[in-house]
Amino acid sequence: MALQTVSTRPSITDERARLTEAEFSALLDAAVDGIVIMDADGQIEGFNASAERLFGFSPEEVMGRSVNLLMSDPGPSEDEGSLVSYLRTRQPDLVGNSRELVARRRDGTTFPVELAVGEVRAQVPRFVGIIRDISERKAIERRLTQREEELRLTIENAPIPIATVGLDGVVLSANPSFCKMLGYAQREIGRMSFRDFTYPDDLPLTVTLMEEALRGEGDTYSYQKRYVHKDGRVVHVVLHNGVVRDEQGRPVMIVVQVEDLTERMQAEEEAREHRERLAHVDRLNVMGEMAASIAHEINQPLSAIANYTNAAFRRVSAGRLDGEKLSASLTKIDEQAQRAGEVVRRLRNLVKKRESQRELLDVNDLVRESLRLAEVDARIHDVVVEVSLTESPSCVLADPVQIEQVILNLLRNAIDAMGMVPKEESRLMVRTDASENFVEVSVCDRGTGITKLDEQHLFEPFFTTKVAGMGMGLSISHSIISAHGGRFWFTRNPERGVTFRFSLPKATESLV
Amino acid sequence: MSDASAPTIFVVDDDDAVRDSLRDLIDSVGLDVATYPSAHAFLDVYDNAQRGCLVLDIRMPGMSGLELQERLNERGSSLPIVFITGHGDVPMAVEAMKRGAVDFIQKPFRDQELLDRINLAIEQNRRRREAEETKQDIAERVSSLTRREREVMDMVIQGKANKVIAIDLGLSQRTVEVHRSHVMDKMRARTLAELVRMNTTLEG
Ligand SMILES: Nc1ncnc2c1ncn2[C@@H]1O[C@H](COP(=O)(O)OP(=O)(O)OP(=O)(O)O)[C@@H](O)[C@H]1O
Ligand SMILES: [Mg+2]
Repeated sequence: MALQTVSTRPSITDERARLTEAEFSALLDAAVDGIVIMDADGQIEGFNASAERLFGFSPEEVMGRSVNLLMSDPGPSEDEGSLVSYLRTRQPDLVGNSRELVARRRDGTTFPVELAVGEVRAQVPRFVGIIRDISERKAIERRLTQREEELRLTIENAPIPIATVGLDGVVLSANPSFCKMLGYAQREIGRMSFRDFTYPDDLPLTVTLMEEALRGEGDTYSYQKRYVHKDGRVVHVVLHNGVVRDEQGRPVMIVVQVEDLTERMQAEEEAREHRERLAHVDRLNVMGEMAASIAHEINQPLSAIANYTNAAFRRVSAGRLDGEKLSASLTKIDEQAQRAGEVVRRLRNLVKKRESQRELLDVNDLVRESLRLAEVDARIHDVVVEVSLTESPSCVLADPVQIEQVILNLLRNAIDAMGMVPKEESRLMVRTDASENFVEVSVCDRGTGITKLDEQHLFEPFFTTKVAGMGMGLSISHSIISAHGGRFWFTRNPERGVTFRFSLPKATESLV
Repeated sequence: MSDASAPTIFVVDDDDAVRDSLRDLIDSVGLDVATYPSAHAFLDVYDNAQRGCLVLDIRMPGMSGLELQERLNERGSSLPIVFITGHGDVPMAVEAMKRGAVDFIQKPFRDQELLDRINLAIEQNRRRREAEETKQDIAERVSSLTRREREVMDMVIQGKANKVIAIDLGLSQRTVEVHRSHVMDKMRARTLAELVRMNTTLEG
């Protein structure tokens, strides 16, 4: 469609272009963009074919009317963005530059446009508006931002820690899960490098793998490593890293997804501890079973020694022992003494097998744990257990399993000692007390007590008055407590039974 | 079958030192001693005729003390056994006693305790052998009786008077008296009481 001009006004072709009206018209109509010619007040003077198509108006309908007709909700004419204000202010920087506006079609629907305005400097100035429909571009843009937002939200809300790291190792972004995992605020972590929170021992591996990945073709790599939490705790993780590359294949950054192993490791640790504890209880039981075979092994050389010795005695008293025979006997006796020593050494190793591990522990916790282990025993034997734990600090540096073993043996001995005591009197008292330098544990029973005679052998290995006893309990306990720098003893109760006690040095502040 | 030779103490123990020291100890009091490292080694050489006693460790690899006891019982051996038991073996020892072991002694033991038990066992073995020999003797004498004499003896032991026996057997009283005197001679019994005792021995 030809460009319609108002003939009462001088034609724009008159002065400079010198194009014929027909040529000009054809030129305008050939333009892909909509072209609107306006006077300084925004009155439409020309409207090309593309504009017709864009707006759905025919030239006749718009000629002489305000260009606002083509704008969506132009508002007061001073409004920024309004074409009329644009024309009025004639800001030079606006003219010649394009800007985005919302246009309106004949049917009232709106669409985004990019508008460029050119000024025709003549006696009567005119403006040429070149309008391009940018709905499609806008739609793509919108979709992109939307997708970006979705992605952002996904990452933000992901339960999996995710971060991006620059090639220099600096954290570019980190989601809340990532921050939470390491205990840093998002703001703090943004200034850090992965070197700052990688466990020092794992740094070389981290760097090597990263360099390899950046150099190589592989874009993803996974490995297990340790981070250090802000509070110093070690965090075990598996990383799944992806190298992000630009179009030329140059690495830009690394996306890090983290599998936090802490919980799993904790569960495993707990399971392991549980197993160890069971094994420990088992071991205490097995010790009882082993009693017979160990005692047998020790008894063998001892009986041999006794036999050789007694044989020699009898020969001497019968006047039938010559020097040769005597020295043969003594040699054999010595051999057997060595053999017995060897058995004892092996036994000691067996007991020592588990290396002593000192930890800072609350004695009350150890007592509670041992009580838990002895609970069944107590119940079976109808023994009432009273517990009174000190409220003063009662921390010691000790091997928990060993100390529990000591307490457990005391509890079992006390329960055993009350085997013949009437039910209503079967009562044992477990106490902890803290003095200035020591924490004391005592187990008080109302059992049979200990005779003066037995007292002399109480702490000797294999001394037992029980059918199924091994007689190792007190002997081992004594050496455990001594090794911990503590004391182990017993006292007779005024009324009945005995109280076994041991003390352990309190852990001082400097140790803590 | 009587064996005049001195009794032997058979020691079966898998522990070289214990075995050797037991031999030394038993030898020191002048008893004959023979040692074996395993139940099999002992069974291979032992025959029921040998007198003495067996000193046996209840815990042994291979054939255990209890199994050895069973084998001996199967063979009809009367060899008394002194079991040496360790700590915690009391239930086993009780079982052994039920099966006829003489005694058991728990390690560690005083030498005198063991020697006492050995002596007791030998003594028991001697008495039992004597009893067996007596029994065999009596059995031999019984077998020398005629059928009629045997009948008369049985009735005499039951306390029947000659008159009653005569009627029961359809014999004259005089004939019964002759049989009866033969019985006393052949059985080498001087009194009726002695004859009765011999018969109880046989039945026991
Ligand atoms: N509370 C107690 N009351 C009376 N006697 C006790 C008490 N505690 C220990 N004894 C005596 O001391 C002996 C040795 O105790 P110890 O704990 O060393 O060995 P055990 O209990 O016999 O066997 P195990 O090696 O299984 O512990 C016991 O057999 C018992 O005679
Ligand atoms: Mg005990």
